[in-house]
Amino acid sequence: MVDEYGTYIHKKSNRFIFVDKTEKLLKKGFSADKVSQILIYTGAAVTADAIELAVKKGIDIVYLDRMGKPFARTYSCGQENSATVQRYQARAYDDGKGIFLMSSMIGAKIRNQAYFLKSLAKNRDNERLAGQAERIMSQAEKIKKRAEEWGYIEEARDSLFGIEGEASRIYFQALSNVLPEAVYSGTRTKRPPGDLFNAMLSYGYGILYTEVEKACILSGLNPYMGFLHTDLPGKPSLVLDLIEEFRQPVVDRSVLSLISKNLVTKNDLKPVEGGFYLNRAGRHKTLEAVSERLAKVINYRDFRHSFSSLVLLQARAVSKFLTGERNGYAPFVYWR
Amino acid sequence: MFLWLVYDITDNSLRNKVSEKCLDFGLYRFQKSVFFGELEQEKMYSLAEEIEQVLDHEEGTEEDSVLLSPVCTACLGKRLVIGKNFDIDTYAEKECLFIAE
Repeated sequence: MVDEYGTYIHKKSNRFIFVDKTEKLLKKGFSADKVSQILIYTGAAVTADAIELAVKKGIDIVYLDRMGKPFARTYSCGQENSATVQRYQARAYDDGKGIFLMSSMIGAKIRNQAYFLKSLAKNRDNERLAGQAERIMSQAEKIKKRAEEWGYIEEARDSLFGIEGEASRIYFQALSNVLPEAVYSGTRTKRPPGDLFNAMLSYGYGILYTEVEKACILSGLNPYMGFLHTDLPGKPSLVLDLIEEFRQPVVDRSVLSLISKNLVTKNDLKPVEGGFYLNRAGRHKTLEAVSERLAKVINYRDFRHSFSSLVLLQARAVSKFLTGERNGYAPFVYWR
Repeated sequence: MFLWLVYDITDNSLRNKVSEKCLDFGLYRFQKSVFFGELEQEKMYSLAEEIEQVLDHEEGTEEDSVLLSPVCTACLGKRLVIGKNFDIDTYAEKECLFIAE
């Protein structure tokens, strides 16, 4: 993974060469065999030759704004044929599969929130946290009960949003028990984030987002055709659905550990109107931690996978469930 | 695995082609004719193969040679360096790298 500012990237045989525009100093080249993803921040340029090399080698180039939100990405025009998958994906909206998928994903997200709080409660011997984890868990139980009443996807959506909202409210409130007031105000704030913890979460979710979107595309799914998140032009609603399973295990846990170890502090913030963004040092530390987390290998259902490959496995599982190759869909739940 | 690659090649243009190959495969230059880096076994074979094709040229001489030698981390830990420092961290693969200021 290469993250990079104010330079331009060109190709030389099998290498990406980074040139500093200001100095015209030739920087180190990188073998395309050793790169899996290039993240580019506004202000850098890539030549078409370098893009071609990246595409040939299956290297993902993602362009991010200063908040860490991806606004463009390049991938090969020679994508595998995914028309079949997308036909089923469109049908799933009305044939009940969509409802099943989104309630699985949200159920998993809520359980992941509860398991994370549980592990925090255990480590800190905190009764109050344990209680909040239980309350969140009971929200997940509600989904099972309500699911029988849902006829249309719209009813399911309203109901799920309500349950998910309640769980998230308890969850973000509970986190104020483990984070000092100086870095976390006790609620989730975005656009702009109001404190250090929120700024890091927003940035980390941006990185995770690129991973989930890539997995959707590689699995033949249409990232813009989701179930829980409604259709809007330019809104990748399926990515927003699937990302829910991975927010806590990948981003929340790595961000919280960075803050607890004092590795990222208020000095890594840049004030803007109404809130804060991470400055360069803060972005680097957060990106590094989330990347390492994505590469981390864990035991899951008797196999060893990195979080990154689990994201891809889940996207493939969605695709197989939609086409009928599999009868069910098991969401990703992380209980450690 | 980590490996050393050393060569002795008479012809300038051939030598240049071989060093370019090393860089293409993601090895780093430690000395003028010494490269070091991390490659999968399979990649090491394909690099050797490609170098062989380069040297199989009329400018190649009987004296030219290239040596690729894997080295385990235990052996690497026992190394002694005199002069310019050799820091493994510079050459080991990383998850995430920041370039440019």
